[in-house]
Amino acid sequence: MEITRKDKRKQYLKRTLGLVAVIIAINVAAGYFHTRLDLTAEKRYTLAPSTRALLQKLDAPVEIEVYLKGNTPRASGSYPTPRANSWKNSSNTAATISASPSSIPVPTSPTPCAPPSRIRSWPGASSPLTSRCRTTERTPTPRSSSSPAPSSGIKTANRPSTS
Amino acid sequence: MYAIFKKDIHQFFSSITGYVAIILFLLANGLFLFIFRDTSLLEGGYADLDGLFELAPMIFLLLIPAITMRSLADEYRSGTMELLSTKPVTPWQIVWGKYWACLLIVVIALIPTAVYYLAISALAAQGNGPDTGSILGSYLGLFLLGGVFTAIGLWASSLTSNAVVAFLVAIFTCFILYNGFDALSKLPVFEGGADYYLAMAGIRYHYTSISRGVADTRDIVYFASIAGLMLYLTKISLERKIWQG
Repeated sequence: MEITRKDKRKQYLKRTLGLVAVIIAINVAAGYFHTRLDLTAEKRYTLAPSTRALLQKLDAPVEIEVYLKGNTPRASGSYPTPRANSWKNSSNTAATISASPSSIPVPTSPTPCAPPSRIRSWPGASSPLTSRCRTTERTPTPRSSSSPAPSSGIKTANRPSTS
Repeated sequence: MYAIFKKDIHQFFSSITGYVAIILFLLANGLFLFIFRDTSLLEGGYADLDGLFELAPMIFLLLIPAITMRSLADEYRSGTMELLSTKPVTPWQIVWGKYWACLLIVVIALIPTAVYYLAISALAAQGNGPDTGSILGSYLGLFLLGGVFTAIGLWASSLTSNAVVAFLVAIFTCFILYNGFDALSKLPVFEGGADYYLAMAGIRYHYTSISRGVADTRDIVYFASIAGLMLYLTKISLERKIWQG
């Protein structure tokens, strides 16, 4: 039986799609079974045992809100920049103000994904901060359209009193 | 396979391509990291090589397609692929030989950047030298990135007998994989859910993760699988070109 070119092409396509499926499966599986080796000298990206012990004791989600003022250094790397719509709706109602993600200074131990505006954690999770580092993003402050610089526009109107 | 590997290495260093590629890589790095003030490591204030690991992917994006563009396209054009296909080598052996030859050029280009590390350690304040472990992790990430880009460049080279087309296709594909997914994930449409997974499909997410100095199996598996997929596609297109499948 003669194999036509069309058959061959179909076969190649089938094999390629099969390989893509296998690769996706391997990557998903690798997401579940993984180890990490922190090569930094002071183990900067690993939770300290005391932190883990503390997080194990929590029985409710913890919300951490950070309020910042002034010119803080821009976080480098792949951290999300403030959404473009932040100065589109430059209405006069400044709602609850929190720091825009870009203006949160990198703490001594930056988290893998982004500087979180909220850190959620729950009991029973083995390593809440490393395995699942998705953060809910707060909308950045509306700023005047004349100064789109990310770090300069944090207004402090309506800011909850910190005292 | 070893014969193909050796022949390609010889080809690189008996012509000017290998030298030009390596010299341009080092020249660009040296200019950006030590002379131009905006991106200078010395102006950064910290004893680390973060500037290198942010700059190098961008240079790789241009350099690696230039290294790989001729490897298969020239064989088609000059007709030596016919000769090669009559030899007792499998398509896999051709692809592997070419792949490691191109990757070796990338590694050779990377080795002299160790001088930057030595320079920064010598200039750092006493006891505040750069974090060796973290920099080793970053080099691992750069090597894996080079491996993926080489596989993509080889695939682009296997598509056509025109080296310029191969170069452009390789640059475009590398850019889409490196930056495209990341940029796509920032669109407001994907906000809240899909953006995280979209960013994870791109190279940049994994590169930044490994570049911090954390060798994570997930990132290594990702790089290996993308390179494997591209090499498989190379093999398929090679088979189809040779045997008109």
